[in-house]
Amino acid sequence: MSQGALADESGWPMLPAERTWGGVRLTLTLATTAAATWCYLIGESVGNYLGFVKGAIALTAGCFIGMLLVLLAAGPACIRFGIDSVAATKPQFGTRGWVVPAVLQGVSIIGWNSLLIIFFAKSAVQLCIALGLWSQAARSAMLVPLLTTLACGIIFAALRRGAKGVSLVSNILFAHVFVGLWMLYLLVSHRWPELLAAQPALANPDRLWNSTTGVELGIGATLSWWPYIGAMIRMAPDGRTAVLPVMLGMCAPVPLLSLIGLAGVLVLKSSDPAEWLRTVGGPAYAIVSLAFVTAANFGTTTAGIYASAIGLRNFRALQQRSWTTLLLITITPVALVGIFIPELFFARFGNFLALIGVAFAPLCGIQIVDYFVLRRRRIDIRAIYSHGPGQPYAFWRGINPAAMLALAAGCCTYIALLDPLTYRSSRPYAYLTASLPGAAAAALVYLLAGALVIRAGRGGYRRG
Amino acid sequence: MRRLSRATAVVETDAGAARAAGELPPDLEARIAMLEASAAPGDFDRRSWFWMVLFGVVAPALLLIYVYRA
Repeated sequence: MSQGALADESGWPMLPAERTWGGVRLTLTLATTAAATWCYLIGESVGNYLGFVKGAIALTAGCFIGMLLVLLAAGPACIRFGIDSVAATKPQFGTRGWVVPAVLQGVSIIGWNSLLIIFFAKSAVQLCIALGLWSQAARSAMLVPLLTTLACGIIFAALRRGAKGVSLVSNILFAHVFVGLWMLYLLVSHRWPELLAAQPALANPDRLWNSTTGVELGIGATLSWWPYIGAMIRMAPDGRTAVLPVMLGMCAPVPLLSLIGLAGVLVLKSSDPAEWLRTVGGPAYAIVSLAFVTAANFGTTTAGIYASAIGLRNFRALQQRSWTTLLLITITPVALVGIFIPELFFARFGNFLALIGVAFAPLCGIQIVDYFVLRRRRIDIRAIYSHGPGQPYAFWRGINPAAMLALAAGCCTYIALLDPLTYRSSRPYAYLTASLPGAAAAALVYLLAGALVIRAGRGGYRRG
Repeated sequence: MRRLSRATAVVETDAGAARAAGELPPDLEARIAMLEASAAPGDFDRRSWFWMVLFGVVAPALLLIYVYRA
């Protein structure tokens, strides 16, 4: 195995000579990662509170704000040393405490991918029926599990090539972004007057609250990219190459494709284009949209499994395991959910994911203040991988209490402003959102507690 | 790459033994040594900051002004 492939699959830092992805390749990969079925769900959520134009603008603003937070948090360490998002948290959480963000990453990615792979299987079943390959009568409960297994098998085979597999799938599937825009054009051109006149179903009497919720949903959506971003941008040689692909390639497709779900739920009360394209354009359009949905989910799931497998490398027990074993460990839970409990998972997924999202805003706040303020941009790459006692990032028994305290403070602030399960909020939410105060509270607590850590001479900080 | 191969060849400790002794695996050690020896690349240059401020601050601010005024 070449040294480059070794680092690609090991989670170790990539050397400058191995980081060969240019702007175009990174943009394609990030765009394919971002453009998936979740965009329809995000658009649908916004469409519950805002009309088309206002919803689109609020969502776009929120997405860009969230993307900036993620880039400032995970970006510097990943770009400088070619490491993944989880490894980049060791200077803040410690040589053992990083397990907390690692678990968040794992649960988030497995959850997202389970949703996508089930979507993929359901869309593929519908596509086969629409193409006449299966009859509606022959459709059985076994088809979704079978197609889930098949999809997991294909993703496994593609990812045995490491990041090259992700890039390969991205190149093939990038066209689906344009198909998505075509679907949006169809709906907008056919139903523009209705779209402008449509009223959101769950709009709050407070217009400010509705607008803020549109922004909040955008921020939350792009905060979900935290687990993915490190594994992708570490393949780029420097910050200059990575910034525009992230801000445009990874961020822009989300609000753009969310418009499909936003328009669909406002006009036809359904965010699923497979449903409304049949109404707008007939069965031929439905087939195209189903092919699009199938392809989009496949690309994102591949990138997610890759990022998750790289993250597992940070666990000492898994450092010497083969890449194939890591892939199996990552894919198996996704496959099991898709095979055994697809419907149950769909029903509970919103609540599950809302709780996961609460943690990423504080996580970003902690990383930003640690890197730019407390460490003044100095990271010790050796300390990230040195796990013994007395190492710079060992703090106390491998855990930085300042980070844990700040994370808890950020999560509590978020929940105090907005209950992610019921969407009940307190008054300041309408002016502040929940994610931004959550990140700010975590940053502030980390700054104050970090000063004590520095005073105690822990954490590898430079004094003065 | 040649430098990396040389560094890898020098550190011939078995990976398992290295872990037991609290040291880094040889390949990882060689990588870190190379990164430490070379000038560490910076994070964001001026152009990167320009794009981040434009898309992450200015554009959302303008969009939000429109949303909250509408």
